[in-house]
Amino acid sequence: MSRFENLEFGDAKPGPLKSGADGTPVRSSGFFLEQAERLYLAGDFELALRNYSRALEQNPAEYEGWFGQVRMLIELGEYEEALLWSDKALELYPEHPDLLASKSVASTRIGDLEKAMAYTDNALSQRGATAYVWLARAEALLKRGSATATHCVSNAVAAAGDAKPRVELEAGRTLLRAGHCGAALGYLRKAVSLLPGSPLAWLELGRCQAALGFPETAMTLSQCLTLRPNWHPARAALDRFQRRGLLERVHSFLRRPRRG
Amino acid sequence: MPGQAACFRCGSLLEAKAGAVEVHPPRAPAWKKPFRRAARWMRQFGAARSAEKFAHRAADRTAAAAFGRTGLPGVLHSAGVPGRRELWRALRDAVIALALSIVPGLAHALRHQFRTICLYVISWFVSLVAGILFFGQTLGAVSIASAFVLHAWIAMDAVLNTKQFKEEMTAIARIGWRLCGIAAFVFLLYVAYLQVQHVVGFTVGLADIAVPAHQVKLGDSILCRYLAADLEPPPLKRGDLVLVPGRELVYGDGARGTPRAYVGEIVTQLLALPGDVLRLGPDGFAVNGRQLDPLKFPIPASLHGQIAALALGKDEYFVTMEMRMTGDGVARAAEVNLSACVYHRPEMLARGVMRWYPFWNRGFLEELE
Repeated sequence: MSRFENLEFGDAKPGPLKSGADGTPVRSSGFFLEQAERLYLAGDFELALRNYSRALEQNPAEYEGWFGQVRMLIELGEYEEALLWSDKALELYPEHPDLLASKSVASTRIGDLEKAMAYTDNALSQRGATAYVWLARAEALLKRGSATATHCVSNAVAAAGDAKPRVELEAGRTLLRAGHCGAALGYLRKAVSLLPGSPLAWLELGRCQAALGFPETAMTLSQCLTLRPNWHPARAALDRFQRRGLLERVHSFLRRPRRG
Repeated sequence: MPGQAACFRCGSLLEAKAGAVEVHPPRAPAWKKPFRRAARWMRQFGAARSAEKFAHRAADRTAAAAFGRTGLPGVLHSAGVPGRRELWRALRDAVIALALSIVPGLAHALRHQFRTICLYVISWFVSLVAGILFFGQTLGAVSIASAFVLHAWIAMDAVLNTKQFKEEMTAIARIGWRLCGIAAFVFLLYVAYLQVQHVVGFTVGLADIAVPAHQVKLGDSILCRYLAADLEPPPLKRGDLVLVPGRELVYGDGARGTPRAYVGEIVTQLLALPGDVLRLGPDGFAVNGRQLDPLKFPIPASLHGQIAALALGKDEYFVTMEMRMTGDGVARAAEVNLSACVYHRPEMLARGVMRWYPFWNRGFLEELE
């Protein structure tokens, strides 16, 4: 690298382009963020994390990159690392509600509910609580067995704005993770209708339907496998559904919502 | 000021730091993940039991309908009657608490409530150690029984001392449940103890012979291992201390002979094996023509000064023990006294492993031959 490379002579390089002269996209931070989002919806959290890192390599000030990394670490089950990385991101964006909410989610998954509640309290006290903050709150409350969590989920969907498809998906996943399959079903159905090309949405809907013993589970999971062939979680869920025994059938029947 | 990193007057930084912002997050090693998962599961149990879980209970009841509790379940839930989910949770937590309480205090430790039970756990540990140290004595039996009761108390405390049970049960019901639970748990522990004792297979017997080479005196307690506890019991050797049922001999003229130490099961010394030819003379025992060392194979007082010979048949063992002779039994024929010491293989119950009591004489027994 030349020692004069960073000097400004008034002939600065042009900003990031959407596409190059030959039509290929310029690999800017925005490009990698889009890729990461696409990979997330495909359920490939590892690659999504890498793309968020690449986005940050291009532009370390890209907030979406930091937040995305933390989310992906949580998705990958690396909660301690997610907490560590949230703290690092909070150094750059102090008291950012989403980052505090992500710490809450990681703490909830670890099982430290006191801290999780403290983080969501802090996140909600900041201005402009986002959908993610409400979902984090809902997850912590669900873990505590509180029925008021459903209100938080509703708040999250209401606060979603443009990101509604994704928030519907996240809301469904949160409820499904807590075992509220009946409540999750509606959100996941909506998510699938809004994100028909997302294998993750199809997988979660399939899992939800399988837990409730719906016969359309096989079709949903097959659709997921069509979108992402040989995806192990979908294949495993389908196999498990097809090989379920009598007790599982009875259990899933009992879990079905009695209304609507 | 070219070449300067900072202004020499105000200290302002003049060039950017060389270190770039690290944008690659730390990753968890794959080998750590299963351990973390296990730790999370354990922590989850503790967290689930934290007091704040039930803080919003009243709010939950009003929001029951949000979870699809309609009709009778919703009405019952609103009225404070625990629903299926609550009952299931309570049952699940009780079972988990009980399972974790196999290690006393573990359930409390996971809930961060160990301090409330700390004294009980220490007492349990002391009782258990005392029970092991004084195994076979009255003090040992009392200590083990105390350890059982303390263990049961700790387990029941783990099950019943949750906010959930406190809310759902009256004080009288809790006391009743605790007492019934302790009784049931003590019974289970006793059954487990018997099983463990059967599997481990140890017992304590009183020595009915003094063996200087073993540092064993008449009446000492010997820790023995049951021969039946091993699938393939090791062969008995000459000089071993063995546990056999004591015999009361009644001679034709009314004279009696009983073991000196104890009438029940006694620890004796194995002197001759099946097929051996035993001779008793003034210098002691001789087996198959070989004179035995009297320090290793002492002659019981009841056989002193007698001369006799005995050929052991198949499955016959000769053991030495002190017999207390009544009447003119002392003058009994030596052959008769010798034959009273012949035991068959099924009568050999256990083999001595350690000098157990007196406490200061505790130590492993060594093979004499």
